[in-house]
Amino acid sequence: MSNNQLYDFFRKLDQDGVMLSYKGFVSPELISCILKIVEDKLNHSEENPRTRKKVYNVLVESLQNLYHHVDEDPNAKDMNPEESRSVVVAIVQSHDAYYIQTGNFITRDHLSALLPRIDTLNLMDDLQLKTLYQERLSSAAISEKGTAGLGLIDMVRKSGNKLEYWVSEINPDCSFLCVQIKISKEK
Amino acid sequence: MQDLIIEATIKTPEVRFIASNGLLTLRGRSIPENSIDFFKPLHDWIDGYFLNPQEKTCVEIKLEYFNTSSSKSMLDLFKKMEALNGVQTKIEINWFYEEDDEDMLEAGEDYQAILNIPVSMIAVDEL
Repeated sequence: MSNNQLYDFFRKLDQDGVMLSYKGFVSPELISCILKIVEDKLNHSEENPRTRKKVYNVLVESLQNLYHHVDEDPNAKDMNPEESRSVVVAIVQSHDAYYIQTGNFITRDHLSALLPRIDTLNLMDDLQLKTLYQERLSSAAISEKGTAGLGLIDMVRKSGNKLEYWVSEINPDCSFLCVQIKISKEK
Repeated sequence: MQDLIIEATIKTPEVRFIASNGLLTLRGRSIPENSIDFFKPLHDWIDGYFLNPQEKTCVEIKLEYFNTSSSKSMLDLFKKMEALNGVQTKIEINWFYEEDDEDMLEAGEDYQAILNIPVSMIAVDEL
């Protein structure tokens, strides 16, 4: 990027309301850093503590979902293992909402298991989500990774909005999945 | 029996499990990527405590944030207590939440719905 382009990039981030963007490998340390930066920015920009908490909560689940489930870049043969699991994350704010956006490589099998789950959650109302969460919480066993299949339900439930997604197919076995969660600003 | 005292970190809560008065407190944030490692010593301590518990055992949850991994690990801990409730000790859970924090209130209600231990919801100005 030349100096001029960097200025354009700065202006673009500013105009788009980007609070933070990141491309690279996700580690527990990175998650802590992102949470710290976003929490500090929210403390300055967002007056409503409920909205602050919601953004923080949904961001935790969203980043930890990426950490546990990201697949490899199919073009990554010569990359080191960390680079091959790069993701993109952006936290963006508009006048009436915050958006948490994530993008990651995902295999065909994982994608075909995930999308119907998201579609089902998106059709549920608050009470159905609450019931499903409680059922899953009391019945599901925790995996060795510490996951219990609750993250997506929690994100939809807390955000109060549908999970939007876009899929770009890279080859028949792998796609790039972008997910956006909107958290409306409360008055 | 020794108390279980663990200081808070940026992703794990402060733990104060006091054997001599049966007061078990979790305070702060519980958002580790994998909650199993963190909760393991808590489970172990509970196993030991229930060999010779106080007449009353009070669990105080004062969490600002917790992730879904922790929510499952916490339920497993409560389930262990539930199985022993009324045998040698009477257990109650006090679930603290900040007054305007509906999500934390709902999270407490989730445990209320699932557990057969009394869970009291206690609103405070600040945790």
